[in-house]
Amino acid sequence: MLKHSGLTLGLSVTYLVWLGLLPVGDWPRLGLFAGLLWVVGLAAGRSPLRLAAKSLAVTPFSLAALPLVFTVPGPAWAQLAGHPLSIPGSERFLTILLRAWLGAQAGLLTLSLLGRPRLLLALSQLGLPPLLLSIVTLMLRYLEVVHQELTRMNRAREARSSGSHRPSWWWRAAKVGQIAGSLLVRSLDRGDRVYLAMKSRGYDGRERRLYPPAPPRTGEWLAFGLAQIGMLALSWKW
Amino acid sequence: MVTVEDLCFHYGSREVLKNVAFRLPVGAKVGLLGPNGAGKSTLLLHLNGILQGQGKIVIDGLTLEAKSLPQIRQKVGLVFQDPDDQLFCSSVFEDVAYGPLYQGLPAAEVEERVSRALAAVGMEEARQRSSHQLSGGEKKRVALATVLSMQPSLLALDEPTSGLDPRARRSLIELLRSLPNTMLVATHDLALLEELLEDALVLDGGQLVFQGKTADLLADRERLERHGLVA
Repeated sequence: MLKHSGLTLGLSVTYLVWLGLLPVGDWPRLGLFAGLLWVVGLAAGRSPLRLAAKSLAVTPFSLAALPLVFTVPGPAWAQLAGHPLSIPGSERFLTILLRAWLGAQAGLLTLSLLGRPRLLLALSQLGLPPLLLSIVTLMLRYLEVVHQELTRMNRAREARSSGSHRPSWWWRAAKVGQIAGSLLVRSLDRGDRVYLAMKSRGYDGRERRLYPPAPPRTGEWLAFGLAQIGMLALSWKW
Repeated sequence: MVTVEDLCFHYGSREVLKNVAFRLPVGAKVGLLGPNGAGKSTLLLHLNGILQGQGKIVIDGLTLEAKSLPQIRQKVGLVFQDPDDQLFCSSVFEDVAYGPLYQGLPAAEVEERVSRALAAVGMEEARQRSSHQLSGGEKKRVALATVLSMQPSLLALDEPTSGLDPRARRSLIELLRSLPNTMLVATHDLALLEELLEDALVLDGGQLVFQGKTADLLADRERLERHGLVA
């Protein structure tokens, strides 16, 4: 495994690029890419089954591509309520679905290999500007705090509801909207307080680093290069 | 030595601090009391130059003004009430290193200061942990370490024991007792006041209405009731 965080993240990003470049409906190559991901996952001690199951969470987002099944012209393989389901449209939809699923697995695997602090280090090693890195760091840091606040607000709402009737979807959506609004105001307040805490410890608007990001070693570059050649070989039309 | 003279501050038309004046000798541990909205947190923010009202603040012979701000912020370690406001980096190490880094210290010295500050609060093993993984008591300790690493002469603490269970509270009081720094502690916790802080200041409606020995304040039940310090 690569020890350099930046190269690990770079490898994950290039995997996504190669995956995105695969031709539509090229099932054998998509299978090879899935196999590659699972082998790497197994080698790193991560269960491919768990990765695959967790990544199913992206499926609803991929359904946005479902209209392709009806709108892409071509021969139909079936009819649904009088609308033809085209073969090229279905291939495109399935390819998008598989790419999204594999992409999510690659993302999860990278996140589990790096963890939060190393992910930030990786972004810094890949040259993300320090100001953007600070913003990402703050976002990740306060995601947990906002989640806890949301949980508390939800509990407080539930504690005051009678529980005797099942509220409508619309009523729930309206309440969630109100909570989101309160959360935004609270987040702005917290943002002010965090800024004061930064200022009180000397923050002067410039980003500073204790150490410059370390460059990869030759062996790590070689491993990265070999992985790229391997993915090129997998996606090449022989 | 900390000297505050005729400090006044307005939030819009509301006068929050009115001619506040006091002195803290080196090494003094002083409680800052008062009902909610009395101006305690506002006063602490002034000591660090975060808020700037009218009047004069002198820390270790250095008058607080725009050009002395970097040195003043090094001398006054401000610890906020909610440690989640204080711990904004991705790891404990980065949070504790933040102040020394902005003091422009070399990397080796920053490392050393982080190690010493974490050792002082008994959190060395949490060095690489994320702040969100810490318990409430641990967060308070690390929040304290974030300013100890700057080696301040004055610690300005806002409600350090709020939200802590009895064991974590006891442990934090012992920790504060062991630190040699001058301290100004804003608190509603009269037990903390009695145990740790020899002197007390009472703010009410933005005015300093008492300064003296903690024992004298605690013995004066009528005064405590008048300023909302006991029910």
